[in-house]
Amino acid sequence: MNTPNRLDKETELGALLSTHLAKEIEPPHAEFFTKSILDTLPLKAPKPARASRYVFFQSLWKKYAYAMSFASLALSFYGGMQLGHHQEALRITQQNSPQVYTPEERISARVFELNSREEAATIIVLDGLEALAQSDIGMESKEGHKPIDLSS
Amino acid sequence: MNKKEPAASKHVDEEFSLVEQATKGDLRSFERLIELHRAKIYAMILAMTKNKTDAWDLSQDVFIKAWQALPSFERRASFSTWLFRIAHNTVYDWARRKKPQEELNEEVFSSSQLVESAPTTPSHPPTPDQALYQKERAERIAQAIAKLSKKHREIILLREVQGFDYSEIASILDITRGTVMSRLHYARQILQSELSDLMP
Repeated sequence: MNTPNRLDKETELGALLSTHLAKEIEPPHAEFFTKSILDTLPLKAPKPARASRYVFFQSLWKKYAYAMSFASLALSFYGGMQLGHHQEALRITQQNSPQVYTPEERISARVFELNSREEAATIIVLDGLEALAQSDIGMESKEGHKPIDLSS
Repeated sequence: MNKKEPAASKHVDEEFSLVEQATKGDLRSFERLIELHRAKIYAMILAMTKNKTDAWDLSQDVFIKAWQALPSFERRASFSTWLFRIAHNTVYDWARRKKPQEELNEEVFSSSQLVESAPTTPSHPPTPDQALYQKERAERIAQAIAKLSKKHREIILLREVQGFDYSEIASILDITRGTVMSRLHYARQILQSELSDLMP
């Protein structure tokens, strides 16, 4: 809604900006600026217009608009069906539920459901975790220490 | 209503005639087109890049590209709108080249090299106090504009400084009118809060 107050403020701002910011600033050495462009132009041949191609497609569209619309609709439908079949084979969807509670606010969790004909899995991605130290992931076992057996 | 003044219409006709001649290879006509538009293009690019050397080079590129693209110019837009569109693309290409690895090329347009925009020429010389006051205000405005993102800065310059209407801005930036309006609204809100003490 354009309230009078808002319009007034916009007008005031516009006036302030247009008073203090120049609409036109001549480039330094303006004549040299123009001359050096003109000197370059003979080397820069104009690129041929694409107008004829545009006109061709425009006339083609006018002639076959209905047929082309129907064809594109059919193609979109077919493409959609194919995509649907393909997605059936392996579908990865981001789930809003179940909710995952993280220990700290800065850590966020995303849950993905991976479904295919052969298998299904739930993947939880935690963003914001610090990298684990090597000592925390049992790398010391190579040096003679046994990793802790949690099953016992 | 957006009625064109007769003088403006005459100007547009003259411009189209120059474009027509230039398209046929007439350098004199193109020279006249450069003279008519170089100050606006340079001012806009300078406000975006904040670097006089870059603005000078990029403005030249704009006219060279315009020359090359003249055969594809159609009368659907004014020559000025078309030229500003080329300027927009040229500045963004330049920014991409300058910082190819970063997606957010705001740094290229950052306020580190703030160039004072030339104030409009006063009709009579100001007193030293007035000059200082005007200079301070101009600096405050330039700083406030520098705080805007490049897309918001560009849109506010096109609207409030260059005076393009919404449709023309949409055409220059290749966005919808709705996007133009929402970006302008956001940019104005920021500027109003930054410059509230300068507005009566």
